[in-house]
Amino acid sequence: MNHRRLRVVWTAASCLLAVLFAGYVLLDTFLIARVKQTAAGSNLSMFSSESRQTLSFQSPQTVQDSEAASPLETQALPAGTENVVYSDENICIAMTQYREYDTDIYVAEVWLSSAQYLKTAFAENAYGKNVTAKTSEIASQCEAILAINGDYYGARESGYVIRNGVVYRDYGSGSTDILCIYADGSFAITNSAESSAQELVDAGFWQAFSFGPGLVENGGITVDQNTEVGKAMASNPRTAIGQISELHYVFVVSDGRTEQSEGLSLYELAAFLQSLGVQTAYNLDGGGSSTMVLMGEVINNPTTGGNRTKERSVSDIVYIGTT
Amino acid sequence: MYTSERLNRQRLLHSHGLRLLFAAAFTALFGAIYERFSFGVWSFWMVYAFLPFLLGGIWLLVLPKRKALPGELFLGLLEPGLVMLTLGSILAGVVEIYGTENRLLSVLPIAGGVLILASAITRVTAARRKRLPKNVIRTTSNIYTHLDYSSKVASANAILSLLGPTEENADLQPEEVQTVVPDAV
Repeated sequence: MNHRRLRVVWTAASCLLAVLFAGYVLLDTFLIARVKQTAAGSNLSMFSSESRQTLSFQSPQTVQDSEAASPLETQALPAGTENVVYSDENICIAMTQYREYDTDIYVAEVWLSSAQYLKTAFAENAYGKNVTAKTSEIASQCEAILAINGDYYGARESGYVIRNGVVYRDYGSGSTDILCIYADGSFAITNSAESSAQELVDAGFWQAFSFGPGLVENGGITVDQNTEVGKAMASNPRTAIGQISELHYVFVVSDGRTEQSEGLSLYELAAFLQSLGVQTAYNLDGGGSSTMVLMGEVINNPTTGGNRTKERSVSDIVYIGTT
Repeated sequence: MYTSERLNRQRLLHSHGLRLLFAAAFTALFGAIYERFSFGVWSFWMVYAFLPFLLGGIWLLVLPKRKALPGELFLGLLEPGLVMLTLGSILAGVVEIYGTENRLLSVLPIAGGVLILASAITRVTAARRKRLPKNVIRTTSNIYTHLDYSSKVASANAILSLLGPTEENADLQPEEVQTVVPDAV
């Protein structure tokens, strides 16, 4: 075989090999599911019965009729009482839809008696790569009252994953902001360089999310007008979670990428959360993943594949539930 | 190198250079279309994926004007290297635009980089060979290494027999030159 023919054969073979390898990487990135661990349930030993507050929420009708509530009851009850969509002895949820920045924003205000009702769940009840399901499906499986998509941990190779008090991934991702939810319900935004995942659990961390960035800390906005997730465009569907006060939270989802709803920049989202009185807020996975499910019904307009209204499959959800 | 062989090689490099420029244009178009449908999420890897083909194409178009022309080995290393770099770049762009990660992403750029480096080494080697041509090396090696000592002695004796005795070699007769191997050898 002469040199030229040898070169042609070698070039063709090596290019074919490169294309096949690229195909495998794409399959490995997007399709091949690998379950690394079955979800280990909740580490409820973090919660003592004494830490649970006694909240006696009234039904929406009762709330509307009540004009002589005691100061304590007034503090415990939702501000927009007419929007209460669910309440029991431990959980109260009020839904409000806003129109800001040419964007539809869905806000679920949540009051809990204990942080143990602020839970997370994995798709197919398993931790792994490319193990995904729609937010509404995961919410249905764990009988969630309210659910939003989580941080889509499966899309990244690193970043702490601590769920319901159990460590699933103990290697951080550099300077990524981590949202830590303590067993007492308080929020903190930290950095993986500061402590290990096990140290966080030992310190009483109930949940940890690695997406970010942190939007609001101590009531102040922590992002600027140019801050963005990766190389994403300025306006997107967004998902965020924030804490207003002790065991009082907001779950926020905005529509975007459509003519009806432009979407929010991170700064706009942070400013909106600040206007709600949020003290600490954190950005979760957005774009096509942004979904809010209330009692089995998707209430926003998820836009997977651009402006097509379709729910995207995700790795995990954050939800309010009792089971 | 014969003129006809040189012309053939120049044509080969030229045609491959044009092919790479065409591939660069196609890759740039692909990147632009992909970005167009990425809903504003962009990636350097996708935008500049055409650069390896572009630079490789320009290199191949410039090379035929040089004295030393690289051979088949150079092309055989360069082109797969460029393909791997470009594929790796597109792959990194797709993954970054989707907002995910994969540890295997570094394999293709590293493999491509190694092949391109190897092709550059063959190019440098070819250029050096051109500066010290093959016939010079052969002549030098013949003079200094391929002459054995006995032939030197025979030459010396032949010279002596022709010139006859002189003051310096008065005591020497032909066929009597000592065959002593010098220490330095």
